[in-house]
Amino acid sequence: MSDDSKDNSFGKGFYAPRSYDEMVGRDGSLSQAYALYGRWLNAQPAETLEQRNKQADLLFRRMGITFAVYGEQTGVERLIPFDPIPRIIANAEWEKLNAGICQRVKALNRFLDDVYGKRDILKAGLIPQDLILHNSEYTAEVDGFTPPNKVHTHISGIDIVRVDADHFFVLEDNMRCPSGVSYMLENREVMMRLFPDLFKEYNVLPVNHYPQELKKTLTASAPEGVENPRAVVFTPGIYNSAYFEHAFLASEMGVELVTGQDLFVDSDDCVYMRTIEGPAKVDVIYRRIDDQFLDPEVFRKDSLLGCAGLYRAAMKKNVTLVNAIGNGVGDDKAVYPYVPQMIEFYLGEKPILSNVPTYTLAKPDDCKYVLEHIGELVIKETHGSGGYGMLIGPKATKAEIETFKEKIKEHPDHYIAQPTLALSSCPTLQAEGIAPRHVDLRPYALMQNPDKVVVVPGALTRVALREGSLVVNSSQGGGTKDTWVLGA
Amino acid sequence: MLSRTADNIYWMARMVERAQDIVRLLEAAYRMEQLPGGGVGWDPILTISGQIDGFKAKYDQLTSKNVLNFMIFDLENPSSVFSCIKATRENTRSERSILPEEMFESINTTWIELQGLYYDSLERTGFREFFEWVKDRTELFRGQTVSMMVYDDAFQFARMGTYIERADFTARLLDVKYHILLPPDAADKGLIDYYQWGEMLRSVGGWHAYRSIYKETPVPSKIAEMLIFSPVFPRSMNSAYGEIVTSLGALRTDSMSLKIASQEYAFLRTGSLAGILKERSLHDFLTDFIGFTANLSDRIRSDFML
Repeated sequence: MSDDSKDNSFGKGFYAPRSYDEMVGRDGSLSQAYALYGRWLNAQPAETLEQRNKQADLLFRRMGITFAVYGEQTGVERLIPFDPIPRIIANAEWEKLNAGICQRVKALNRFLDDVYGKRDILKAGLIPQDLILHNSEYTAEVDGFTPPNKVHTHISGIDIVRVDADHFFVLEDNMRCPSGVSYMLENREVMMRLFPDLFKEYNVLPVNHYPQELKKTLTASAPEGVENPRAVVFTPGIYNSAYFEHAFLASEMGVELVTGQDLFVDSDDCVYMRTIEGPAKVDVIYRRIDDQFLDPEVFRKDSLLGCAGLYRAAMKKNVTLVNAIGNGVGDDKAVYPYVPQMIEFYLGEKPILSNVPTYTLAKPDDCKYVLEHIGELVIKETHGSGGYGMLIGPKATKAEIETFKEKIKEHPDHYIAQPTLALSSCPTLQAEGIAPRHVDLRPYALMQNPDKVVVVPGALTRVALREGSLVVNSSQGGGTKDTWVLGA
Repeated sequence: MLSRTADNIYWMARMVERAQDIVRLLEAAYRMEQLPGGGVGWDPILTISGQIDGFKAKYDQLTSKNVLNFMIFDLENPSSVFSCIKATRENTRSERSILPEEMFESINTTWIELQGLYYDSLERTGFREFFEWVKDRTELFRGQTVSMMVYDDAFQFARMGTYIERADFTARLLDVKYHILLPPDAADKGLIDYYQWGEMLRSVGGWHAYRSIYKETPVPSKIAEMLIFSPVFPRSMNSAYGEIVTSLGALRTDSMSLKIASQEYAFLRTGSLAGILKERSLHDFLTDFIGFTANLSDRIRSDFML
């Protein structure tokens, strides 16, 4: 064992990543971030991880950290598979990511303020006007509306992938109701219980203050002139797939967790919650419910989850909705290719994080190219999410490709295409032992004012558990890992 | 506090109390069945829990197996142990953001462990062990309510839930069994009655309490007196109303619910069994009491939760 502990390699003969691996280089040597961990792992008897993994499973079940899968029987709760091997990010790498995320979120917030305001970017001709104004995510109801503090994107989840030692790409921006942050926090909680010694040796930056920063973000966004604003978390209810997270965040912030039936808008256009002492005014609503279901008076009439009058109250700035209404036009996949231009236009800076090169099928040239090279590309629906409605060219059958081609020809503007990226892999515990599996990264950015974005040093790492798979979504068999950002 | 939260916490406490009460009843009947000629029959359990119609709709025969299946596992029976624990868990889950985290974790663990149990598996591992286990798990949860919750409004609703359910249960139990205690013909039925009184006491956890309060062998009228009037027996109707009144008073001093609960409490503190029997039958008294308690529960709802 003493030889092993000095050994700077891992997995000779059995661990064979096919793309860039976060832990092991082509020659089998450990990356800098994983140097300590890899040596520790080498010294562990095979059963240790297996045992801890079972322990983790029990902990998650006991804590009821479950999600509901849509399309399955209501009320069925499942665990997201958890992998006990951490994703480790070196400090310098994180610093770059952090700067890039802050920059991106600031630009996107300015963009939303602009398209629902003066529309300078459209006037400048940088983004085709039709792409925005005729976008189904463009919400005319908030045209001309500037939310308190000029913040639209209070909470963003930015999906990032890595392809080699130096290159991270932003895959997608989530600025409506990004979920998963509770897994970032609970995964850490569980890892600290399972591997206390590792945390003593490693300088892992803490993430537990996220709820505090979130509360600051909510408070800062309150309507002007409100002292001691009352914030609440607005959940669709216990059958929602992310209910655990809603309850968890409300609890950690010490605010009420409300459903539609707890809220009402009075004739003064203010929002109140029903309490045992009578109505209590609400100033900030962290809503975990989509725009469409928010207010049956304005959006979907059949919504039973929302609260009638919320829109009215928000437009009069009697209450702040977090995130703002209409953000969908900022994280739309058809708008995504323009984010680098936004950064230059609004901030006068070069983008720190790159976009994945993207073909917009609404453009005839792009469309022609994509149809000819469909076998090498990933095609995504512009309004799809959760890994649904996409085609991964290299993995698709001929029949699937033909069906998809027809769909594209019918509505080219519904699709974008990107090259298949060789996502980095991370060592992951599998039945047969430790094996490389592809991962992505979702850090969470909190905007406290248009110039101040806070990113807690951590993220949700999602891992595609099937060998070779690139789909990390929990709805499609993905798992999660704790993400360690190392201190300087 | 949100009105919905008050409602959820109230039912959380009621349902976990009900789970335990049901198990105590089942345990008593199960023990009685083992006495020579001593089967008390299983129908009182169905009557007390108000589920006799539901049972008849599903089963032809009143056998122990059918009743145990129906009262433990059947999720279509709202008073089965499974249903009560499930409802407790759902209410706790809905309010997990304001409750100590141990509470959801413990009821969730109970619920998860219940999933692995079936009639056949209990036959192997023992029904008595199961009853003990449910009592332990529900007592643990109640202990967490009392020792971990902040003494805020939510706590008051939890306490009211517990004691409204308990007052109701003790009255129902007494109502169904009073003929054993006070037979109309007053004839001495001997040994079996002695055991029946004993089992009845056990089903409210009162066997030990009776001996420590009265220091003598069970006498029917004293059993009834203890269950209704004792200020020191924690499952008596008097004690339950004492707790209810304390909680209502802590919430607001001017509510209608407090006013009517206090009147009832005043009677329970000063009345006696002889006093009741002078005017009417025990059955009439208990029927009124059960109706009154149901009204009080509705009143609490309209005072605080709407």
